[in-house]
Amino acid sequence: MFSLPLFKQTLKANWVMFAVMGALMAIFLAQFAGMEMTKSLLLLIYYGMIGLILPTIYVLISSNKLLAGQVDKGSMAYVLSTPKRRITVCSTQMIFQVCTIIIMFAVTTVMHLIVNAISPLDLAAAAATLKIDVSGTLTAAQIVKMNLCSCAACLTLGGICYMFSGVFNLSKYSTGCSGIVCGVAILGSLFGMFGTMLNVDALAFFKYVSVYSFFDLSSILTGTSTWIILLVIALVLSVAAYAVGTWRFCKKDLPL
Amino acid sequence: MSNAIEVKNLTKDYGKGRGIFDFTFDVKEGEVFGLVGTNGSGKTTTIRHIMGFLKGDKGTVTVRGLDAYKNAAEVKKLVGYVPGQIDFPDVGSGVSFLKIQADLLGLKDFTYMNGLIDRLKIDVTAPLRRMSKGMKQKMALVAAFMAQPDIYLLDEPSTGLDPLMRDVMIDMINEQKAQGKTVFMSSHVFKELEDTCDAVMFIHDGKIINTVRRSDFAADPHETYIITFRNKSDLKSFAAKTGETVTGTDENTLKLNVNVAVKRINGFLKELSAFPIAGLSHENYSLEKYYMNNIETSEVK
Repeated sequence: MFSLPLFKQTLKANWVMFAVMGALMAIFLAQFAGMEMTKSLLLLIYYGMIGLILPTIYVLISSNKLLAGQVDKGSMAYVLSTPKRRITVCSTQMIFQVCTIIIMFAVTTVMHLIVNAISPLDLAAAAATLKIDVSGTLTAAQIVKMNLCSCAACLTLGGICYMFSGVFNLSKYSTGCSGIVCGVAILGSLFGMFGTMLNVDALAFFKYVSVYSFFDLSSILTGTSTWIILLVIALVLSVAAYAVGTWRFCKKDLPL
Repeated sequence: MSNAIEVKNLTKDYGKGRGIFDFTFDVKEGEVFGLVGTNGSGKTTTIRHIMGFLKGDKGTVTVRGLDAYKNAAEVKKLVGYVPGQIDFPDVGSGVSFLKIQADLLGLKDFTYMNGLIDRLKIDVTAPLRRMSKGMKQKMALVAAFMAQPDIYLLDEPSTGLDPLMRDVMIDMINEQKAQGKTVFMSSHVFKELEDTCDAVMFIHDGKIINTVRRSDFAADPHETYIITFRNKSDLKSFAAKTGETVTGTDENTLKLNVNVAVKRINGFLKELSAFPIAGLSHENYSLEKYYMNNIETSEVK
């Protein structure tokens, strides 16, 4: 069910993208969490935009390369002309994507924990930008929860993009469909955020079309349990999407 | 002799007359089997079915008794494949591609692989993206041949190769054949088929037209003669009278092409001596000639 040589091949083809996005996330996070001028914008700009956009770009580009891109190019023929089952190819590519997404968020979590330990964030000012009424300082547990939930939402997105990559034989359809879902996810969460900030309900509604609404910042900060339910739904959806993509890839005709 | 590959009633209908229809053929162990056809006649589709990449609408494909689709991974242990569409994974240089490919195959001994790289004169350190078409084709040949599998599936393996490299490839195929390996290859180049194949199957528009075995060819050789007559009536009466196969008639130039079994040449000449003729010439009866005739007759139908 897992092929190390294939994993290495996938890593070789994707590590630059992964490293750049991961590094950018860590740098932006450190900057927003550490500098006095930008600290109060951490929740709004990092956890509301940058921390979602960067992994989305990574997911969009890498997921097409995992399956559909290789079928479209024909290079999948070399992997599948060796005694590797299609399910092994699928699970290896899936493990790669899930692992890299988790590593990205793990790195930013550690980064944030370190920076926050040195210079703690005053929640009242930062959360006010999002119309969330809390006080005190940001705790380590909240940092872990925020990253856990955004990671789960990103895995849902990863699952959906992987599914399109497994279903289609042509890159243009795979990237097209994934692009729409990713675009909607980002725009939806941005519109939702602006809607909340500016008190425009019609705009705030947009957040519900985005997979990133599984990441409920206000629930985490105010201490309700909604975020746990959303986390579970996100993970279930993610598993379902990965399963559909794998199932279809194993059954379909491959033009190789 | 047992069959390495068996295809029974295989049909894959892509609609609008595209696809392959009711293919039945066997490739025997240790045989080099050629597949010839016009562009879009179904050569690649046939090979993709044997590789288990496509599932036929009807019929079965087995490789040494294993279902090519259901047991695809086991079949791949026996098979080396050169795809018709050459594009490599995004892994940088030729060396890293071959290394990963060897890992995927579980190959430990690189002597034969290095020998192939020398013979084919490949610069494996070059980046894959910068490689020319011929260079990529040679890389694909190395990837397919390096583990010396029992069965080779080669989809137009000589595409983009220069004449010298094509000869090296023919040597490689013949060496593997000498070791008892089975080769199934598609090609447009009749020379390489004549140099390697024990049997050649002709397909056109998704249908099998004919399968010619070298043994049949050798056991019953034919010669083609072009006779130029002095007048039209002689041409017509001879064409009607002769028991041999007339493969072409041209009433304007008064030329008649006749395909004569070698053992009946004397009788044929005796028959011909009764007619006043203006010329008699001989044409090599090649596979290519045979193919062209077949295609022309099937187009007329």
